[in-house]
Amino acid sequence: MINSYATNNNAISNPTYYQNIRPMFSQYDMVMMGNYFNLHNYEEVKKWANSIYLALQPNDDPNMAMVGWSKLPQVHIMPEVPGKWPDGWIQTFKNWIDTGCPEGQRPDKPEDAVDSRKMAAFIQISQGLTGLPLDITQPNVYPLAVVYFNRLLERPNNQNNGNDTLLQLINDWNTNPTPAHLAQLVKSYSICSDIILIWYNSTTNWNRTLDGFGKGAPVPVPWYGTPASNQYKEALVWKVTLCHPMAWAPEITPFYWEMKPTDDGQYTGLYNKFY
Amino acid sequence: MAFLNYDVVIVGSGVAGAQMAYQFAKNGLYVLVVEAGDVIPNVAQQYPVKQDALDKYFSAPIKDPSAPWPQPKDPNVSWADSKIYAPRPTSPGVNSNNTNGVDWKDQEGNYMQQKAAYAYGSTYERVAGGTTKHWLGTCLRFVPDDFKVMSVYKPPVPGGYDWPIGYSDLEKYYTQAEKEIGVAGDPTVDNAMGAKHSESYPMTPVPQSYLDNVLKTRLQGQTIDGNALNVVGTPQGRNTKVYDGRPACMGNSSCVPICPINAKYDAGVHVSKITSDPALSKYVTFAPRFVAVELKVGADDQISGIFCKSWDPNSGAGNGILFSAKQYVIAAHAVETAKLLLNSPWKNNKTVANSSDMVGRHLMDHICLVVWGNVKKMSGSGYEPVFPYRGPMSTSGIESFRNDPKQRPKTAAFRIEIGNDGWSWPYGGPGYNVGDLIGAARSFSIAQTYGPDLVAKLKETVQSQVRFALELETISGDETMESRVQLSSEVDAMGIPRPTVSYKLPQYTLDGYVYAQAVANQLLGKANIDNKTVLQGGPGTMKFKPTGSSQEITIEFRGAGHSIGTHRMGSDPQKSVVNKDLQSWDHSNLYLVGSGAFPSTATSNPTLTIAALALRAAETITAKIKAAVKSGSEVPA
Ligand SMILES: Cc1cc2nc3c(=O)[nH]c(=O)nc-3n(C[C@H](O)[C@H](O)[C@H](O)COP(=O)(O)OP(=O)(O)OC[C@H]3O[C@@H](n4cnc5c(N)ncnc54)[C@H](O)[C@@H]3O)c2cc1C
Ligand code: SF4
Repeated sequence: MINSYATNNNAISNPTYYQNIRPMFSQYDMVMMGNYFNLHNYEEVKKWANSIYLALQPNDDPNMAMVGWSKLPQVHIMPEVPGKWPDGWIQTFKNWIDTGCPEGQRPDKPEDAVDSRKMAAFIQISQGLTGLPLDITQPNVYPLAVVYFNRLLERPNNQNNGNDTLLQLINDWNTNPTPAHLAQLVKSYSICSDIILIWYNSTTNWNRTLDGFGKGAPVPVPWYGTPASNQYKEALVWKVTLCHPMAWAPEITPFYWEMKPTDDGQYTGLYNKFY
Repeated sequence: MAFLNYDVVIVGSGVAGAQMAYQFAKNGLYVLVVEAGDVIPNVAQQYPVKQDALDKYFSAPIKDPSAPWPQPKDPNVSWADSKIYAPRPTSPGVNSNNTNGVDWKDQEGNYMQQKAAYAYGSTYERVAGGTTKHWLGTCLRFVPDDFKVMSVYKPPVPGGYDWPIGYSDLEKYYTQAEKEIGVAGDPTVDNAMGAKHSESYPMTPVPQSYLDNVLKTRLQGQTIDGNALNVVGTPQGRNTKVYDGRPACMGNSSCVPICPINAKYDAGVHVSKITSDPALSKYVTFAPRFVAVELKVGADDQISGIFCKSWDPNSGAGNGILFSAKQYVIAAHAVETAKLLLNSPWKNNKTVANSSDMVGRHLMDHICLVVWGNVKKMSGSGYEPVFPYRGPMSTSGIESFRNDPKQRPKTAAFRIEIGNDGWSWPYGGPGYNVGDLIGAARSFSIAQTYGPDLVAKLKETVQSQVRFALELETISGDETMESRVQLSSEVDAMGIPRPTVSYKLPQYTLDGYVYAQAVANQLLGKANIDNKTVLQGGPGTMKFKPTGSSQEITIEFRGAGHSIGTHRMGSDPQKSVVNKDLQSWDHSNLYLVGSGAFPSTATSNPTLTIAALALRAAETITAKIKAAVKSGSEVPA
């Protein structure tokens, strides 16, 4: 949250990427800025450091600053809501550039632990189930797949079928990765519903009924806590239907809602290349 | 301790209170604003905005109007022990019929206790800026006949009466309110309905959505009972250019409950002005987290003080303090203003301002008939994409049923709001369509649809969604006497009684619902929409006998968020609480502002009229104080 940082004006003079820079970019910033640069990748942040530096600062033109554009053309000021990092943070980032963008000690990240063969299968299955290309060369897709994979691993076993788990499904798929086989798997694995839901709605509802979902008070989901803002906006249902998630997103065309959207989502104010 | 130097004390910093404080300060009057709630961090009109509230909203699984604002009570703790010092009813609390353990009838779970067989479906906020924090921003004026329905149309409303003022009394203040709020619109529609504008709106209209334009084309030249089905743009408190230091709307589609960029007006704008502009703030003491508990009356029947209690999130409820001023303005929202008055004893076993026994009575709302469906293709089978969920949540309406001279003598009038928000109101967002299509309404269910088939079906069903809300008028009269706010015997964390509500709808309004239903069916037919409306058995479900019928019918209505009545104005001190200037009949230095003063809901959303009446009252009070100073009867503050 911006508020809690607002008094933080102490710049770090010798920052490194993993120790000081990466923690300043939330998962959310990473997703929202995904079309421009991957903020969670050292090489990319280093490559784009000067642009990111511009994206952190509000435009000098008062009208542009008002609507949240940064000094980097066509990019909203980071993070999420048009706003400003505390000066200390921006200075830290500047110091990092000035000292040659040191990488620092790379910590063991959870995504490193993911078995790449299982991930590849998960993405194939996800593509088949969602009906979407889910192009993993797009910067947002792979990190989200990792998050969803890990979340689905925690899904409890279906009471009626002790083998209804993600790993079991992946095993089964790896023996025969064809569309016809997927059609069969859908009929025996209820976790397929969860895979669709997690991509489309960025949350799964396996511990409660969907019909109660719209009406009651927020109920934290035990396996991963209360849904976070990024999950909401990552929800593919908005992109597939060319709807705007009821949330802030960088907009490119004033009064876009007058117009018929094009299939690339241009007039929904969303990035057009998510999957 | 008392601080005697204020010219005016205002209770509440919603649109009524904040705009009045701003006017007083501009006129050099010393004003104290006591506000029960907290200031939303970063409410300042510069970025970064409202990050806390936005985070809450984005991470809430249910995007209801209360989502970004202070969270509901822990169900295991009583209200008295809740540490929630400015409690308020929440959307799940008035809309849930035993879903996820939340029920509108739950007397302990909900701050506002409901006593009737069907729910009062409207909520409010208790934070600086008030309920406009989650309003939509629709800024329509009333039409002239709204002020005099009883005398012009003689509808069957026993005990009903005209407003003590008319359109021409308010026109100037409507214009002023439109500037203060920043309304974007086109006055042509109003002018045609007789609501003539002396000036145009300060901003050009918000463009109508693609969906609006599809409906406009389809309904062009069509009528129902002689009323043209013109789809016209709605005037909105939403910027179409940089105005008053705030940006133009970018179409983030989250207007209710939070505009991330402050393109939508909320009363936090005026709270900001009175607290941060040095020319004004020197006249204003803004006291958030001060809850008005009781009004005190002197021997001369003048209000002599307001007893308030402060609170702090860490240390809890503080000590009481008595504030005094020359004039008192209560702008605490219809339910809370009534509660405050009822909690203030006066002489002869009466409560303050209540010699008429009308305080708390005549609680009203615009009941909404919500209908929804999928737009069909004009030729061939299948649905036509109209692309909802884009732009402000409503940009158009059909206004011709607001003043139909054939129907108004018989049944309640209404306006028709067209929603750009898909089926989110009655059904939930598009995520529910995914659930329905794959058949995952229950846990661990096998997907019925997947892959490209799912994509195609999802697009078809979501992209063609449309929703209408027909918002019906209520006129107070004998039948609304028992539709009322009272004090509960149970208290909140401040030790203040909680409100109880018994809601009662009069026959004229209910008959209007039946007529509106018929109009809605025809409208959907004419626009070639596949009607998907179902009775959902929600808390607004009730049975009644339409006039002239022996058969009971079941209807389901929803609240509009427009709490009206409870201290209605009038020309008869026996029947009303305030006069045409919103001044209490009983205490000449007490003014009760807000939609609580409306004797009828009229046919448009209330807030522009709330603001206009408040600006008018501010002018009256300012003149009164200045005249007193001039005549030497009072020493300048
Ligand atoms: C979902 C929703 C959508 C809406 N959309 C529209 C719309 O599109 N158009 C429209 O015209 N209207 C709309 N409304 C209605 C509109 O929000 C209200 O009419 C308006 O905000 C009322 O303003 P107010 O100043 O009278 O009261 P409020 O805004 O409720 O302000 C009252 C203030 O008093 C404070 N207060 C309460 N009790 C005390 C106390 N004891 N001591 C001190 N302070 C106290 C509260 O904290 C609050 O700040 C909507 C309402 C809802 C719920
Ligand atoms: S559409 Fe968005 S930017 Fe416009 S008023 Fe609504 S929330 Fe604000």
